[in-house]
Amino acid sequence: MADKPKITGISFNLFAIIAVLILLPLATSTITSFSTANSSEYISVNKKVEPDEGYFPDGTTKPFADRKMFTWTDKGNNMTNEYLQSNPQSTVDNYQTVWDFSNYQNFVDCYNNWLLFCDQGLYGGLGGGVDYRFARNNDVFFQSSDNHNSLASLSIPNYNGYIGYSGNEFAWQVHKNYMQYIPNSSDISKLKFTFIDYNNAYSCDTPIFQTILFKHDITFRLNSDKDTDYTLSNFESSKSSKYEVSYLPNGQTTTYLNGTSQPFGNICHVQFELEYEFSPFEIIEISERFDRNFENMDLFLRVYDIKAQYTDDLLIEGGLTYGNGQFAGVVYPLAFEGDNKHGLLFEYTEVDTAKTNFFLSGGTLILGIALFLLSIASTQYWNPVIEFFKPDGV
Amino acid sequence: MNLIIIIFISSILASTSIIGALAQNGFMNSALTRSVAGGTVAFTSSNFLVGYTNLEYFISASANGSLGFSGFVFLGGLVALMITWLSNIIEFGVAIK
Repeated sequence: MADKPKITGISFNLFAIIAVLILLPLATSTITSFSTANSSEYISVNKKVEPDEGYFPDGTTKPFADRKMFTWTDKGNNMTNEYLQSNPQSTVDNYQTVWDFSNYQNFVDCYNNWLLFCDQGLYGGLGGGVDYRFARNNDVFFQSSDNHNSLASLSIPNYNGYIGYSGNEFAWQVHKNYMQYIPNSSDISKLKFTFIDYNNAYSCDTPIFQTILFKHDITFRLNSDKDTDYTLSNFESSKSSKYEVSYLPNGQTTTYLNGTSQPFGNICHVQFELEYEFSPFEIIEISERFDRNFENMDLFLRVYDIKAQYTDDLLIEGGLTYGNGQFAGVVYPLAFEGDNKHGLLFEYTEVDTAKTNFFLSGGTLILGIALFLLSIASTQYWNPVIEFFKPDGV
Repeated sequence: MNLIIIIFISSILASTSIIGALAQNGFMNSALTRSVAGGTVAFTSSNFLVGYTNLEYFISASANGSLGFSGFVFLGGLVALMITWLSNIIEFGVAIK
């Protein structure tokens, strides 16, 4: 009995195979986590935007192209037919242009064409008596236009208001005028765009807030040249649609919808949090491929397959305004849908790619050496583990 | 022998399930549990193997030189291990001799 090894034959092989199948992916995961461990906290781009961004130093307004910062490129479903059905006296043009900004010439309102620095026909920037910034908690948001034009401004006969099904795929362009506020010394590791419906507030425990599941892509483009496109796809997110507000600046109001009076406690807005977390390889690639030239970079964001999750086993796809069946009448909106405005917050994190490279390469080297040692230890010539378990004197 | 095969397959399935569960619950680096740019991940895109996406991407990055010398050492070690285990199984009927 004393001569028998404590671990023998098949059991030892099983331990080894399970260990490799579990430890190897955990090891690579640990290396990648360590390599981005020096990532900073989120830095707000909004707080960096100059108050007179829309103007030249002499006070004259910059051209449109120099003021665009964040614009729609896909506003979701075209609801023209639904609008026409609800309001037979209107014409296709009334609504087609609400959705399709390429056909916006019928309207002088600039909602159709871009979001920031465009309001009520005033092509101003921050300053000049018009400030598009507002605060929630410690965040500074910019006012942005919803996916539909302001219907009330279109002089539509028998106006019936916004039809709230907007689809489940949307896209935006982040212009270089916005990107320029990321320093060219930064290696970006995450990007986050937070949309909130700041015009409406709810009690934080109302069922309007759910988990929103969606997929998203991002494309980087330099100097407006499509040949430079670098696309990262298949991001999958599961985010709460609740944005809790503990601080609302004096004088700022919001419509409280769930009760007769606003409670003393916190209020909540509907939010949509679009976050891109890049792998260490992608962080290095983005920095090296574009040489951190953010002032000449545009981003193209796409969100698709949006679903609302009410319970662990109930997903509602497509329609993002009213549920069906047992959830009939329950609202589950997106922060940026509608014909009014929403708030936008753009943030990023940065890493030191020298450190990222060090941990990535160092960790990989150690892992490679360990695998070599394991392969030698798997032969009959060197058995350090079995030797360790062998009884003394054998 | 059949029992041994069943035990081996069960252990492999158990291992992949553990890694899959860890990945689903966010214990793996989330940026690497998706298929990433360039279509370099081909085998582990299914939910069951999502925990190995990270490993496959690592192997892919090593092979295309993104990880430099370290990547080739890693790849060499992995290949050496696979060859050793395979030859052990063929010659002795066990992976580790």
